[in-house]
Amino acid sequence: MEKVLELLNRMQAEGVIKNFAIGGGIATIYYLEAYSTDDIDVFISPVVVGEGGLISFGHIYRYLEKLGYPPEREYIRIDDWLVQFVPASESVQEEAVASARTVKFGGTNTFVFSAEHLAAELLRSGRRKDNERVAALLESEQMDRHLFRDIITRHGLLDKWEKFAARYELEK
Amino acid sequence: MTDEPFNPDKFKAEEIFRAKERRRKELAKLPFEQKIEIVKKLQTVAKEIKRQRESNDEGESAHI
Repeated sequence: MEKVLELLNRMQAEGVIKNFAIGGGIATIYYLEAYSTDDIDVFISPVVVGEGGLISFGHIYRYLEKLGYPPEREYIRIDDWLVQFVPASESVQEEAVASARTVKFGGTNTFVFSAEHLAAELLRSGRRKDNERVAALLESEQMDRHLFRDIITRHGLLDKWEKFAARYELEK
Repeated sequence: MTDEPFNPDKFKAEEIFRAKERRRKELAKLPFEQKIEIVKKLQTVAKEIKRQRESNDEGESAHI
């Protein structure tokens, strides 16, 4: 995975991407126990919206293709990992990128969503597996619940939280 | 949490669940690099299971 992280840093240094942070499954694994996943979600900010409200990552795909990493549908395979670039288009995602933690992997620094932002983003996403991860993050010793509460309040996720808390029998 | 050794002839179900939770917390504390190594092993296992399943499916359809 280090090769992927080195490449992301190179892309940032060369101005191909500005800000990025890892979210999704790999960020979850940073805080919780490992489970099987083969994709790396890289959230990119700022999001540039082009004509007709469409987002273009063409420059990213072209850059990587020149380096010998052709796209596989919306993914790019790098060093056995499927890397997906995700526009940080939701406010909580944007803030998650802006306030990501610097994490060292081997000899390479990278950026990973904070546990609180990760849980808020998973709550927003709301798939069953995301909800299970939110519950696990809340149970873990990694979470600052006050900060989490602040994030979900500011990003309009309180309704989702109340439904989630009721389902998982948590204190609202 | 109890420090008493596990007795397979006489235990409560909740001890098993507590042990699972304890194990999850221990695994969560592993260094990031070590967790990614585990993920890579899980990927290999998942690929092998998929390969076996596809091979079994092919075998079954050949008999039809």
